[in-house]
Amino acid sequence: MEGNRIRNFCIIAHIDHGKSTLADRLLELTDTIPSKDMRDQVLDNMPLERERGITIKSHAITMYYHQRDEVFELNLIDTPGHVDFTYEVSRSLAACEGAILLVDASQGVEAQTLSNLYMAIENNLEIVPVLNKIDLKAARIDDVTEQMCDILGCSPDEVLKVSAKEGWGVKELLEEVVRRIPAPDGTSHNPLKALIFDSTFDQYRGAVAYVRVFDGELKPGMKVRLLSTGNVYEVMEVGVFQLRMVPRQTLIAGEVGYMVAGIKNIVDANVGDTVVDASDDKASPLPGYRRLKPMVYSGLYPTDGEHFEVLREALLKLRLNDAALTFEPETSQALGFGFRCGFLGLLHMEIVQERLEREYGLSLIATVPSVRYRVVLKDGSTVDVENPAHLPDPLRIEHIEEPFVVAQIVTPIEYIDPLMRLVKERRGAYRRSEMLDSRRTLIICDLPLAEILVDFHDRVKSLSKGYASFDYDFSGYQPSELVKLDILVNGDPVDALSVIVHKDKVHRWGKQIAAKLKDLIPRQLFQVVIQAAVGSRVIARETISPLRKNVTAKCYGGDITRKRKLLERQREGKRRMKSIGKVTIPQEAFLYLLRVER
Amino acid sequence: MAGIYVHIPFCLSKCPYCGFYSEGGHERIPRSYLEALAVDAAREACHWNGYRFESIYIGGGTPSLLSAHDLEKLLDLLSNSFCLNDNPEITIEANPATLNQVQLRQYVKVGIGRISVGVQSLVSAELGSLGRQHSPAQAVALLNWAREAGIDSISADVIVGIPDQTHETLAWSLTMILSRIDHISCYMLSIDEGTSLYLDVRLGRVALPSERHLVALYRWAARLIEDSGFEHYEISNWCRPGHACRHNQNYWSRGEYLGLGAGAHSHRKNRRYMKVKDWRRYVDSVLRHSSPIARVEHLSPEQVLLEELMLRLRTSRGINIKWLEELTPDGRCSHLIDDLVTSGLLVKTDENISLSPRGMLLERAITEKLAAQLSISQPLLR
Repeated sequence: MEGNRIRNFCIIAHIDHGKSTLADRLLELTDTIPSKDMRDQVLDNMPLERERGITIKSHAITMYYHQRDEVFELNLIDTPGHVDFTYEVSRSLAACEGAILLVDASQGVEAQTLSNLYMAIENNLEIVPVLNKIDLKAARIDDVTEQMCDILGCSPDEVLKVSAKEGWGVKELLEEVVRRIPAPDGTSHNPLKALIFDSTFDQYRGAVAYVRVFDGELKPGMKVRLLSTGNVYEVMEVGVFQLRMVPRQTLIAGEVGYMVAGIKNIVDANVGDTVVDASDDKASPLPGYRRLKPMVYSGLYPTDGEHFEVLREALLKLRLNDAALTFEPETSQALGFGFRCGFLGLLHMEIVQERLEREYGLSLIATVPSVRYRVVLKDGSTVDVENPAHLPDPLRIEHIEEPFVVAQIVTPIEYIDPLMRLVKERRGAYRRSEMLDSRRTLIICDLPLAEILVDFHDRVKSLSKGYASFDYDFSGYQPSELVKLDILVNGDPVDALSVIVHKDKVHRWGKQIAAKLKDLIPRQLFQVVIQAAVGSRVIARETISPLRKNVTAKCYGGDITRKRKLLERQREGKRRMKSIGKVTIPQEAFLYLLRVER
Repeated sequence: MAGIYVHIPFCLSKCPYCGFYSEGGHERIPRSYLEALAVDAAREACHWNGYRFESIYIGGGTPSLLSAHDLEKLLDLLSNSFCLNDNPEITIEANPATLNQVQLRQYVKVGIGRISVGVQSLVSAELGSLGRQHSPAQAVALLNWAREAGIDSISADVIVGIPDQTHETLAWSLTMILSRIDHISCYMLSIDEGTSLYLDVRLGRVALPSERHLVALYRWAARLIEDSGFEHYEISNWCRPGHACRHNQNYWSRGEYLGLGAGAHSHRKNRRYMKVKDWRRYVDSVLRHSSPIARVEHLSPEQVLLEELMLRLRTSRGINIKWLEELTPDGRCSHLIDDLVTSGLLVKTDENISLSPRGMLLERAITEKLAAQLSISQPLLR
């Protein structure tokens, strides 16, 4: 396909604004997928994606659109929308020349849409504004059009009005895509330069890189080099995505497709990496490459200690297809053998946990998610701490730094007060705000990452009755007054329950955790004392009185079976508990801390 | 050793706290049931060839609804079908409301040597809240008659934790009873799911004593019983020397036994089986020559160990320490035992460990803890 007949674009939309439905309509209209294979959300093929209505991996699909006598190759790159995958999104955007900005006419622009939109604008993408769901009674077509015009600086006529569900305006949209989005400008005569914007793992062929060719040509048999690693591979197959991968003779400048090149591990096909001709020594990388770095850490432990090996194998398998997941073995006195895992964010963490439990049948205990703290020691050196239990002796610490984010909150004006109070509670600092239209405001503020890890998003939603949306970008490390809070059970510290918290919050946390543990730990044969302590200073204490009576009085008539079955059940339950000294603690105690109100 | 249990699932009226299988509204035992028992016994006899039975226990329900004539026929049947010991312990449970002096004398004549009387309390109000049909006077009379009739061993059931029971009322009941008996089963009122008392408690119609009060009452009762010359030989049982119940001891040492009648349990060669509970269905299947067995269980070695542990721990003799330690080679169990001894919940005697008086009240929690240490391999996920 000649370069001027190619259009590469993506769709920027908030969750539930109709991205998948629109994609389905485009595929239908271009006869890309035979109607017998058509189903809803056809691009999201992971069960978890379909269930949650979200996109986790990037996808691409090539469509051929007949406009009068001409045939255009349209490459739709479907990106994950969630903030955890910001980097992947930025690389997918870099593979496009244009973007459809899809906004729900009844909801308006949301924070997540904004941050992805700004990213698209930074990548010089041509934006095609589209108002979706105009068939809804609640559609506020004029309001939302005005909002979009304000943000983009465009005129109302440029905003297309569609209903993906009803199929209204979709054909016009395709024509506008062809008309407004520029054709790619590279040429096939130049030396090869291609961007890897995602990759997946195939157990027979190794890593499959999703590529956008900017210059030159990519074809089987040629030797290529990946600039970040310097590794050289021979290209075995190239092709384009339709519902499945379809091999091609070649991918030329401007095209989007895949490359199989005997890359054994997915970590060697890094998202953002540049593919060049192996003989080209002077090649320079495409801009924007970054190694993926986990932002959130949590210890994952099998409930049954004997399943450690199963967990290790499951993590290894998941990592084949998820280069952002990191893990290394760790030991906890309370939980036994497990792994400290690094995730891009909370959604990523949830997804990994859910897949481990669902696809590998594991039952897991996850410790309270933690960020990576940077601890500056008195001798001037710094150590990174991902597990609160590993914080160095406070006497050696000069200060502790924690990661911060810049958060964007889009909210109807009536919820500004409660949201600002929430931001303050979470140690946030207000930066500035902007009116988006007569009813909605964008608030920008700085927040410690640790404070938004647990339930922040839920709180934003509940404080605003679901109307406000929230997104963030990592902004750097700043010093904070942080302390380590230990939980002791009968004098023994429970390492898995340690947390690093701000000193102003430590009392409330300590009291809450101690009180909750008192409810969660069953009475035992002896008294149990729970303490929350900072260093040697105890800040909260609870006592669980010992059992007085726990006996089967009658054991006659020969019905031994019932009593034995009860014992078998109880014993199984005991085995699933964790022992701290003589005290047995049920799993719920560990799970609860994930949900503790901060 | 081996025992025979015969279940008589009929009562004048069902007590609101009773969790055993029985049916109220009967003044006598249906003839068909007695016929079915005979057929059941005859058919079991061939499976129990070579067993020598040392005890017969007729429980219920209310077995004292049996006429002396029927009882004689039943005992004759058992001694003809099975090989009994020279001097078997033959027990019948009796409700003071259903047994008179004449009948009791006849019971002794046909072979009853031990009687277990459901006294429960000697305070009218307490008997009322338990829904018992007899009066305190009837109970005392029955105990007296039993002695006069020449019963070898007289046992009484007493309940602690009846609503509004106090130290004083309990002391009254116990002192009146203890001088007349050789054996006592004393338990805390337990609320079994499915009983009408359970419902009353859940609905707040009946207030149970607090746990603290209950425990204090029970421990005080135990002391009173022991001060009167009784020996505590199982969690809920005390006896004068030589009067331990052989039939029940067989249960607690995992012995074998044959159960006859509706809902009766049997244990032979690590196989436990239960007969159909509903007595009409039991009669039907026995008389139609189909199997009355409702459920069979083949015990795994692991289950055998668990049973050993949980049953032996109930007795004052307790468990052999070596036996336990061999099952937990890594020494985990020894640590736990030492801990429990130090906390005063277990007592070490020569080669055995047993529950202390305080430990007996925590029997379940302690058994669970010990059971969790038994190293029996866990099935792997994949």
